[in-house]
Amino acid sequence: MEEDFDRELKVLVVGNGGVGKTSMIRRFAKGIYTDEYKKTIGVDFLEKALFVDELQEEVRFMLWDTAGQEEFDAITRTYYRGAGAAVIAFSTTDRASFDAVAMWKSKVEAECGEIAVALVQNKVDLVDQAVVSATEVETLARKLGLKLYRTCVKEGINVTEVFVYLAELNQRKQQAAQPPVEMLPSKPKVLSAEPAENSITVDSGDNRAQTVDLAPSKKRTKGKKSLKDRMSSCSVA
Amino acid sequence: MLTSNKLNRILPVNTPISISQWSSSTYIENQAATLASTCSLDTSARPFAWPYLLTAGQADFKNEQELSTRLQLYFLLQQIVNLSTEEVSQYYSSQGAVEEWRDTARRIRTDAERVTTQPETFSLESGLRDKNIPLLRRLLETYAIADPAVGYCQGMSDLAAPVIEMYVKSSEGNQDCSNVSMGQHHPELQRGEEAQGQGSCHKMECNIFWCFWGILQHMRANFLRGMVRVKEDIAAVKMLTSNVDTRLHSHICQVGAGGFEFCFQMLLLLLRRELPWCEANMLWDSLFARHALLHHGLDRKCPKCLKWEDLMTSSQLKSPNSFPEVDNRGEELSVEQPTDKGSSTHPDILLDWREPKFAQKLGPIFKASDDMLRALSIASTTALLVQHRKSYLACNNLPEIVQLSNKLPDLGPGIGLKLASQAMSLILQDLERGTLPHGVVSVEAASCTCYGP
Repeated sequence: MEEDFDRELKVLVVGNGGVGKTSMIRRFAKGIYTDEYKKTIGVDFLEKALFVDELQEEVRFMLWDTAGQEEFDAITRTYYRGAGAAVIAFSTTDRASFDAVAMWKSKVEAECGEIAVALVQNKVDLVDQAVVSATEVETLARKLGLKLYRTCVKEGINVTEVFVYLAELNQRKQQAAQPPVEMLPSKPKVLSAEPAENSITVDSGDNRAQTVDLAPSKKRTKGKKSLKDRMSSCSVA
Repeated sequence: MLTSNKLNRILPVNTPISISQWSSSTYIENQAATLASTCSLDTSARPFAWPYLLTAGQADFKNEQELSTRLQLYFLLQQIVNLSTEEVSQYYSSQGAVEEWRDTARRIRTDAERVTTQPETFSLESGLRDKNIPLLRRLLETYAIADPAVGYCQGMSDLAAPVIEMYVKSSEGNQDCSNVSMGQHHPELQRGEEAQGQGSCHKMECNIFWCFWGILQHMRANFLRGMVRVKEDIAAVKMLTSNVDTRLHSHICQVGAGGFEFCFQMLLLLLRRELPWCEANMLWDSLFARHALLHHGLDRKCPKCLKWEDLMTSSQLKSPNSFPEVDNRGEELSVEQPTDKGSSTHPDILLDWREPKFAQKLGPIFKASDDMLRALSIASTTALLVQHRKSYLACNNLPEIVQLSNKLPDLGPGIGLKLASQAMSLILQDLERGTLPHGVVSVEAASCTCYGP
């Protein structure tokens, strides 16, 4: 299996309804964004092949888009089997979607065990309508031991990074589970799935993850920086 | 009992049934369901035909008293929806809701914004979307209040959109249509409406609500926690497919989709998303009509058929004078309810909205005593799979099956009626064998030969 030239990774995208799961997958797989007027009922599927520098190989991402409606779990859970990674998404403007993050994590773990998981805060461009503070999001990410990504699917910011990270984390988890004879080039330590107590692993938006201290580097941008710039500082804040 | 032979004798009619045809009394009583099952309805006839067919003729739209009662009940629900959030929450949880009102309301808000852009009433170009989304939201909120055990679940907005579409369009074409349907405007209601500034809009909303209610009485079990009914239906589609198309069934199993969960959306939304908008409407015309036919075919077996008279005697709001008033604190929302059948002197029983069983008393209004639409849903889903068998046979794995199911190719005009007709054949064959248990298709016993492998 390790010799497979075609690495496949089944990724579940879960989270409450309306947080942008379908848009995120579409953005990643097709590079497009459309205002979504179709709720996902049950599941949908998209595929994306991407060369992941850090792994030095092409990964075929099998992206499973699930409905956010909790009741549908009875059906959608049947698609969880075999997943190697999961995105738990919530929206900056939907408090309940943030409150449900832990529940989604338990659901994924119950079906798939300890797979690679990333926490994604979407719609960070709607900071004016934010109902969650940066601090509480970071606190939750730390508590759950998840790396946090702040994305703007609409603008295509930080989206690919999430999936690249999951591919790497999945690789490391597999290696940890089965000590390999040959190790891949060492990864930066900062990619630890369990960030240190006083720091949080965030993505700087330039494809490389880094660990930053939370307290002193808080910056507010009141000027007219581009969203991309604001994203970077937002990630750090 | 109905047989497929009898059905085959009815020649398909290509011209949609018009509103004037539908309104003629002999037509309604004698032929409506039969003919509507073999051809589609004119857009203008749908607002009258759907509620009638959904209740298998139990809803009498010519009965002034009945119409008035329905308006009153709707008005009462509106009064609850209009209470303060805190009061609505209190009511909602007292009626056995499975979640907090604010959660239900939030999800309704989110989903209403994301409703399909397909029909004109919700298209982005028409400029009507912004106007009709609040209407959809209000409808879903009212339904959640009326049926707290279901509340709101994703997918319900998909079922609601076509109902809103047809009433809004029909009211544009005929300003008086709501009057025809609702009968004389109730003086008490008129006062209430004026107070709320809703006017005739209120009547249309009321019609929309009861039609949606009619659909949901057949579909509501799909939205209950645990999704038990949908799971059963998925299993039924699987079995039915194995009976009618062995090769398709075994191929689907071989490629890893043997759980048939990919049919979930088809069953939940009654094929709303799998067909073009107008074809889905025609499918619904036909399925609702066939439901009515089957219902009457089975009527003799179902002595416990709920009639509209049950509503009139069990849940009727007594009179305009006793119509509930809501004070500023919303604490006096109670109605007096007569219980004495046909008597003009009713022993008055106070029906309090805080009473746990209040919502259940509203429940059976449109409830059919059997579940033939469910059987039709299972059968038409199976027929759809068979129609697309070539595409399904070309799938090599589960992801491909899922992708195909979410984006089925258009099979061209007439597919809606065709599916309904094939679904009916499947059920009738089962019926003829006398294997149909009360309200559910016995798929194990069906050995249908209408499709070849």
